[in-house]
Amino acid sequence: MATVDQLLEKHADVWRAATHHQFLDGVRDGSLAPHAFLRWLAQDYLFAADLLRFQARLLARAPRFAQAVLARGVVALEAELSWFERHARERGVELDGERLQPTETYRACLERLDNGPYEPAVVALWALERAYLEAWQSARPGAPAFRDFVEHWTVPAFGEYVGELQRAANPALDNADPIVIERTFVEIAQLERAFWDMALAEESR
Amino acid sequence: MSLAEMLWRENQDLARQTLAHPFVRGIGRGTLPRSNFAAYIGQDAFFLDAFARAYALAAARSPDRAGVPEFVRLLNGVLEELQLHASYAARWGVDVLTVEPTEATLAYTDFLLKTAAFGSVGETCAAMTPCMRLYAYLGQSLAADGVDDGNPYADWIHTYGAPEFEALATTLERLLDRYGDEQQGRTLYRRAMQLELAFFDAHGGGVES
Repeated sequence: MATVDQLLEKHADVWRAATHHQFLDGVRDGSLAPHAFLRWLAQDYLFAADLLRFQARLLARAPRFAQAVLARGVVALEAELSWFERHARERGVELDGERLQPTETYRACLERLDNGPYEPAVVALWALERAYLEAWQSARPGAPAFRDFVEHWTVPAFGEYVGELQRAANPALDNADPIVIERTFVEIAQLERAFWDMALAEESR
Repeated sequence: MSLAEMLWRENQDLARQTLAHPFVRGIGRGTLPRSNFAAYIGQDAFFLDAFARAYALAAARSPDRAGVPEFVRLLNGVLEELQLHASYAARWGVDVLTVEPTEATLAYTDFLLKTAAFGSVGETCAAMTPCMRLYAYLGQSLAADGVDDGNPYADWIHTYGAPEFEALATTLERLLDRYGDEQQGRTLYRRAMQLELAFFDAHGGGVES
């Protein structure tokens, strides 16, 4: 029986590019400029708000067995937005800025998935959360300036959530065109990569 | 008077009829046959599933950021309620995931999901508030009448009679006040009250006259 984690092996290169990045290395060893991190944080907040809308709509059309995990994720994402807002306030970061191009491209992708069938959308949700988890695991333990963030995004509960999403996404493979699923998975990995690239590209401006 | 308060007052006739319904009275006295309650729990779990979906849509479509955490808190309340159902279900031998919805259940869930998908967020609030306010009213009224020690439905009564549930109902009422519109709200609110009564009716015989 096919499982979504087979996609990780099949597309190992694109996956590694999505989850390992100079930005994350900089978070780990402390070489990343704090302002670059905060600029990334503001974009990630905008993404999280887009994701919450996407996931809430996905929940509205999910099969019943997948509903509980998606609903818990929506609740967690809302808490995450409040967490971002608190940190942004403490650091004087504006959160109501414009989406930069990669953030906008990501939003458009989620909107497209939202208007398409359920199966690729739930696989995309699993892939993007899994990528986020692995990326932050690669930045562990994090330089002192960023350690709170790294710890926040690598807590065991987040790992368990990603595992539950995987179990919710696996049955989608039985009902979907494998080519569409793979294309979606690769697209998410590339969007993740572009999101990290954006953080450093902005820094050099 | 707020919109939510006004609509609740306008629907006192249906609220009283529901409280007087043999099914609800049977819960209060603990005399409802177990099989009726088990069937109701299965249908209610199916209904709550739709209710959670409607909250999720309202959160996704909230006209402002301030509404999002409130709809999500309400969604979380349904998740907790569904956990309670899962424990009931185990006790009463109901598989809440495979239950086939009845006509009364489908009429209500279709109404909710259509409103949440195609209506405004204010309309969604008007369609959802009666369930919350009515259950708070039923729980509080039955609790006030006194619950016997041996009542097998005491948990149900205390859940809906609790201040925590009242707080959730009030949260939704404030959202209705904020986003709702009197004219559209009135029809949807009334319709939801009728569907509530029909839902109980499907599990406990005819309405007492």
